[in-house]
Formats: sequence, C-alpha cells, structure tokens
Amino acid sequence: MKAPLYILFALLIGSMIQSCTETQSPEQSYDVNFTVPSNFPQPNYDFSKNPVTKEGFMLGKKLFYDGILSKDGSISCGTCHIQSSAFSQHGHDLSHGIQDRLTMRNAPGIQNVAWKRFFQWDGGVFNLDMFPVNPITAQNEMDETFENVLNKLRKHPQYPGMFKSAFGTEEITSERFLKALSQFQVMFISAQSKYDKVKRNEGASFTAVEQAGYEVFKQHCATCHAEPFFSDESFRNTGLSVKNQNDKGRALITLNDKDVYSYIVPSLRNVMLTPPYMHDGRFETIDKVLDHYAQGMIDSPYLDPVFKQRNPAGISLSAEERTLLKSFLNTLSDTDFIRNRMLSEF
Amino acid sequence: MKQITMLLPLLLFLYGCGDDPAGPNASLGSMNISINHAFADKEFVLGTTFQLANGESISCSMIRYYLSNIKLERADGSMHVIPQDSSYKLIDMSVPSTLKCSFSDIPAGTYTAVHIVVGVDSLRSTMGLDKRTGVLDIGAAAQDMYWSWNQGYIHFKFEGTYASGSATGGIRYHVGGFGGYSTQTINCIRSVRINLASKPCIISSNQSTTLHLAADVNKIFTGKEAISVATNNSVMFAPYATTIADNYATMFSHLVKD
Repeated sequence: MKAPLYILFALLIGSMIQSCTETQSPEQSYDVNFTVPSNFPQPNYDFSKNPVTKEGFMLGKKLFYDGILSKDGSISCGTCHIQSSAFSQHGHDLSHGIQDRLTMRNAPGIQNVAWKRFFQWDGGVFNLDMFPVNPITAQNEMDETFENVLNKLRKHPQYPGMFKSAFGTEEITSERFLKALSQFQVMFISAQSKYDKVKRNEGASFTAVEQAGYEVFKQHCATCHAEPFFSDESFRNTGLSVKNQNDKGRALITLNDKDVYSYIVPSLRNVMLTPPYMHDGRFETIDKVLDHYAQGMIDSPYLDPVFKQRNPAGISLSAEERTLLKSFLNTLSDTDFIRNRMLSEF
Repeated sequence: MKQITMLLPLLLFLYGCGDDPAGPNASLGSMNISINHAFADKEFVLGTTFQLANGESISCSMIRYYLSNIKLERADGSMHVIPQDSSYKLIDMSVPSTLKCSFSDIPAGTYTAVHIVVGVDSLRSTMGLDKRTGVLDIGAAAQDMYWSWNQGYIHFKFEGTYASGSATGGIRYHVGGFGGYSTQTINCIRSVRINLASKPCIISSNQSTTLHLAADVNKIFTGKEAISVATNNSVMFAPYATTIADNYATMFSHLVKD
C-alpha cells in the first residue's frame, strides 16, 4: 500500500510545482542551475564555496546592471559589456568610464567565465570573484571606492532585502557582494552555437564550406585559439604596432621583458558578433584582423614565435581559405546566448 | 626550478607548523606586540622633517604595513606558531590603536626570538574571499592596501615629501608583489627574525605580556642600501620595490625596557 501513496504524493507535489511555474513571472521561473555542456570540461570556478542560487543570481544581475557601482551613477558593468555583442564593448575602440574618461583597452566579452583562469587582457586577475574591484575602483572606469559602493547598497531600499534572500541576513559585505556578481556571471554560458550542436551530435551538421573552413581553422588558428573555448589562455604578442607605449600588456603584471605588448588570446566564440577587435579595438572588421595576420605583423623580439615560422612573419591564407574560414567562424555565433532573457537587463 | 622557488614560502610555512612541544594541554597566556616607531635616535612623528645621511630630508604623511605569520621561538629552537588566520595585522602610523597587536592562547614559556612576515604571504594572496576578512577585507580595511588590477596586497606603504638641495617633491612607495601566480615576478614578502635573547619574552599562564619592538623609519632609506629619495621618489609595482623591501625588513628590533 505504501508505493501507491508515494506516487500520489509525487503527483500532488508535481502538480503544485507546475501550477506555481504557471503563475510565476518569467524572472522567477529562470533555471539558474549551473550545468556543464557535454562538450566542455569541468569548470575552473570553485562552486563549493559559492553555489549558485536563484536569489544570489538575481542579486548579481541587479548589481551588474546598476550604475550605483560607479561614482556618479552613470556606468554599470552592462554599459561596456553589452549582451548583443556577447557582453563585449561595441561602438568604441577604447571603452569609456565615467565622464567619458578613456580607458586603455576594449572591454572583452563575458562568456564561459566559470572556465577561465585569467581575467583582463593582461591576466592581472586570476580569480573571478576578485575581478569587479578593478573596474569599480579604476579612475577611468567607475572611479568609486569599494567601501563606498557597499555603503550605498546598505542605504538602498531594495538591496538589504535582496542580500537577505541570497545570503540569509541583510548584512552587506565585500564577500557577499562579489559572490553575488560571480553567481550571475558564471551563468554566462555560451554553448548553443552551431559548432556546439555539431560537436554534440544534436542533429546539426556543417555545410561543406563550413567543414572546409574548420580544416583551415585547425591548420592555421587552433594552436592559440584552442577548442572548445577557442583560446588556450596564453599571452602572446601578435605583432601589432604600438599605439600606446604605456600599455605594456602582460609585462605590466609580470615585469618581464618577454611579455611586453603581449595580451591573452581572446576566445573566438561569438567572434563575428564582437567587433571591434584586438585589445584596443583597433580593427573594426574581421577582414582587417585577417589582413593583419596575413601581411600587417611587425616582427620584433617580442613577437610570439608561432608567427615566425614563415618570412615575413604571419599566417598565410589564400583568398579562398579566408572565405572558408569566415564561414566556419560564423558557426561560433550563439544567438541563444545574446538573446537569453535570463541575462538581459530588461 | 621556477615552480620550486615559488612554492618555497609555502613549504617553509608548512614546515614551521605543528612543531609545538608545549602540547595541547599547556597553560596559556596572551601577548601584545607594541611597536614604537623612531627615526634613528629620534622619536618619529608624522609630518616632521628628518635628515637622511646623504643630506636629503624626508617628511612622512603615511606609513602602513602588514605583519603576519608570527612565530615565537624558544631557546631550543622549537616554535609556537600563532594560528595563521589570527596573525594578520595592519599597522597604520596615523591610528595609534593599530600599533599594539594582541595574540591569545600562547603556551606559557620563555621565548627568545620572534619571526614575523612583513607583508601578506603568497598563499593568502591567492585564497578566496572567505579567507580575506578583517584587515584583509578588500572592501573595508584593506581597500587601500590592495591592487585590483594586479591582484594582490600592498605589503607596505610610505607616502610623504622630500627635499634634496633645491629639489622637492612627493614620495610614494607602494610595495607589493608576492612572486606571481602563474608566472614569476617580484616578491616583496620579507620574513624577519627578531632576537629577544637579551631579555626573553616570558609568557605566563592566564597573564598578558607585552613585547616591545622598535621600528626605525630611517632604515627604509638606509637599511641595506642607501636610497636617494630624489632619484627614487615613486616606486610601486617595479623591480626597485624589492630594494625598498630589503631595507624596511631591517627596521625592526627588540626594544628592551628596563
């Protein structure tokens, strides 16, 4: 007699859950469970210390899109990390902070950050939780003190309650603030591109042209833009002309001469959606990037050896190979990701 | 070899642990470390002008630094290690209460030396937010002692002004760097051993003992290598920071009170 009772009980609970979802707002029905796509390795982020909850995620989302993080209220994280551009900067080569102060670099995309080991173009931050302090306190970004951000949140009509929902009490600490922002950002998972669906055998297949482009990619690009994230997270000098002598790239972090003007290999996921390109947004189109690799590289002692295998330095691509490559790169665009309402400001 | 060098502080730290012959049932007392800042043989006061041996003069508006990983050494060489989580102290010349640090649960006994890390150890610099509370909280006490762009604590800060002949200007020394996370870079963590043998520190059961240390600010400029402040007036994340760290590491000594 016990088994049927259990079934009845399960059905009852099931119908309750169903009726709840029906009456809930779309926000409340978000699935905020972090799941690893089957073609991805295990994440680098330590979820045991900061498990994602719906409340923590919603708090992080509100913080991410709130100008309260900046000194004059004008700049939020979302100002430079724009969803339609896979959370990168478009419309500017160098990203702007408050009062239109220019930064040194183009804000990179936020995607699959739970797997990343390094943040910023120079890798100066190696823990996702610690990252937001940099844009908040940088004079040419949000120009605010971290302590003052926390004080503003403590006096806000909604935040103390949201911290209570997420963490149990209304106390607003740096740890909770940063963990909430991480809970939102680890959910920026881009894994629904055509490439992913082909790799996971979900019924999609490359066209002949895309497949040929994939072969070109594997031959000429995959050393640095390693799958499945299309970056090996190494720091390399790609022979760009020096536009800003103060921006020594990775060498600012290591103080090592061999890292001068080196930057982290950016992911090619959503690459067609994320112009402008390079650390300073100097190239408006992917063609200009490919032109650079074909004939624009400046050979120097700092140039990464991978480019020195031919003379002059660079990558040889025929006109046909270039066309094929671009069709493959298009398969890395993830429209579900850039339209995901769960991550949207509005 | 590079990795071994980077791991060395960790190994030394682990080696230092668990070597406590006092045992778990020893009677316990507490200790205050009181730091008296001087400039050579003069009393050190913020905003006062002091002469360096090279003829230059300095005036200081800020001195802040971390002390951590404190160990007390007995005559037989054995150690009592202050639990790491409670060992982090932020000394700020403009906040008198920070010049005296308290440590509890120290086994009663006679200690002939104290080991102190000036700065924040490398391991802690890579830990998660739950291990960055109190004086290590980057949203509160540590917010001006942390580089967000190059993730790591600033071990030591000196700010002020200098005069050198007719030249004058500001001094800003922000000394950080824990050796690098994935790639080796400057390491300004300094470990010092202060000999207390002339008058050992005696910890007695249920009593509080004060250990007086002297910190000679002059040594920041002269300790190991004489610094021209006119030439090196702004030093932050740069190789020269290691010279300043070598210098200030020599500033501490036992202040024997009669």
